Amino acid sequence: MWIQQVHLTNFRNYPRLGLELAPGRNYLFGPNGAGKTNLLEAIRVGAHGRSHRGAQDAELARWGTAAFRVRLKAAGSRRSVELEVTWEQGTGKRATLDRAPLPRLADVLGQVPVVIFSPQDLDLVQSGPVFRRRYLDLLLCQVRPAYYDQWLEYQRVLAQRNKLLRATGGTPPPKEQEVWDSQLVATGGPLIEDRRRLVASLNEVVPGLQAAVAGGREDLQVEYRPGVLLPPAGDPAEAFHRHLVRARPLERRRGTTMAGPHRDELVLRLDGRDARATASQGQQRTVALALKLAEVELLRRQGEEPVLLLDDVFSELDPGRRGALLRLLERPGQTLVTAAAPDGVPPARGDDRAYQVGGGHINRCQG
Amino acid sequence: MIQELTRLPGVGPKTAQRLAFFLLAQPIADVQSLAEALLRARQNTRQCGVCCNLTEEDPCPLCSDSRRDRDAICVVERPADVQAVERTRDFHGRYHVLHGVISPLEGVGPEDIRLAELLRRLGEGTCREVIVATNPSVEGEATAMYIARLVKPLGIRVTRLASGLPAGGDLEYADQVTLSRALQGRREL
Ligand SMILES: Nc1ncnc2c1ncn2[C@@H]1O[C@H](COP(=O)(O)OP(=O)(O)OP(=O)(O)O)[C@@H](O)[C@H]1O
Ligand SMILES: [Mg+2]
Ligand SMILES: [Zn+2]
Repeated sequence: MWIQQVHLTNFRNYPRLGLELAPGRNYLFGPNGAGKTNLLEAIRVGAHGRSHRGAQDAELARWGTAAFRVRLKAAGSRRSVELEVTWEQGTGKRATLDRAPLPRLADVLGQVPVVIFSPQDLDLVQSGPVFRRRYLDLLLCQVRPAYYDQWLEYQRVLAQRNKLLRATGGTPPPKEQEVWDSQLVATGGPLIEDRRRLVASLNEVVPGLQAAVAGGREDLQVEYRPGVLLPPAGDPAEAFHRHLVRARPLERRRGTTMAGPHRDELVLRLDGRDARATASQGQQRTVALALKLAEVELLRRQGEEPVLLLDDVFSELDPGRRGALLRLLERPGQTLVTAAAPDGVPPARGDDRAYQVGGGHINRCQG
Repeated sequence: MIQELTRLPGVGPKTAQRLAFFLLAQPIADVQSLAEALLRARQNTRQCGVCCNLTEEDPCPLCSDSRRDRDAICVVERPADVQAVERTRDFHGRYHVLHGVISPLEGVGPEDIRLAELLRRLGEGTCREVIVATNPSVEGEATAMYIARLVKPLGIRVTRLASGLPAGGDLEYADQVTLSRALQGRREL
């Protein structure tokens, strides 16, 4: 799928923007603060319903305004879509697909597959497990829309169970404990199954991608560590129950649920060692990029080529890795690449497009 | 008045304001008859001593109707759900209204809903099946499971409406066909 047009109203520093994109590579140049990341963020909001920077909706509206609009027109192999996400102070965010309102904002997910890679994604490797769970969840939501409902249900059960633990000093009446344990297992079990299957698919593509970006010198494996002790054989639901029973003394002390997919961890093994602890900054960046490219690969298998947004990726990579990244840009789909200036960025090919970003405008470069 | 009105379910500040201005523009006699109707309805309405549904007579017409089967009790969250199941005309047993579901987040425990009343009824020994028709929400499911744990040891069958209902949907708003199917395809808990 490729994004043909982006229309913005009062999004970040853009009062109004109408932008036509090319199906292949689109380069966006402009000085710091010009609005390059803002544009990619807008596309991400249009395609996923929320910012990749974790920004609040009110921050996305142009200063002094209380509403924004993002409209994407995209064409795929089977169909074209028009997605619109609007936000208004007081009423919140809403989405439409081909001008018809979607029941929920989350229903935009999967309509226009978009993968964004930005400097923040270093968090995937460097920071806590919550970032890696979010990576799995977002991918699963796009691959299987029912996953989102399951995830929501689990979050609700978890909140109820935690509240019960706190309200009873960690010792709920046995019947209530049993009920919420069962609900936790019933809603959490499928999440673990889905994540496990996803990680297996990731491992089919991640080693190759890491090798490609790092010039074949590094081996990357993704290891899924569920937040539930699951023996290699036996009924997983039973094992989950057993873990909850065993965790009771601990839960009594902490007043919170100590087993379940909310405690899942994803260990990124670079040449066998945990990349979080031992990899260099540049290596960590490569690992994060490999994970993102794996996301592209898995979304492609769903049937539509995703749009890849690369924000500032050329900084901080050594020339060898930069070259490897350039070769990856030979990919068939649409790619948007931002950089402060054209140096260090590949020479333009015939059908590439370059834009100059600044002052709330984006203009096509001549030549 | 606006503040009082916003306490009503589904009434936000804007609607409350509209209602208030509407009422203020009405003849005093109309407002008085509305106020009296509200007061009368409230004063004459209580919970049925058997099924806990809202009623003007105690026991309620459904409970005192001798043609209705005594061997099945359909357990619902709210009085409006009784109406919804009645509309299907597929259920000929009796009802029990919980007036809520278990929800620690809202501070609602098993003792805050009409479960003790249900157990007392089951103690009479005429009921052979309890059909739990709580909403298919997380809290509705948990309540259903809790009821199963209470009731099954008594040797009474406990079933749950088939999950034809949209997840997170309300029984009250389910259409008759969906609800009929859910009743017919109920599963053992
Ligand atoms: N809500 C907003 N309303 C108006 N302007 C905003 C808003 N939020 C951010 N900006 C402006 O956008 C600028 C940042 O834009 P952006 O992050 O897209 O820059 P960039 O082109 O990616 O720069 P860099 O090369 O440094 O990454 C800020 O300097 C700020 O002036
Ligand atoms: Mg930027
Ligand atoms: Zn009654």
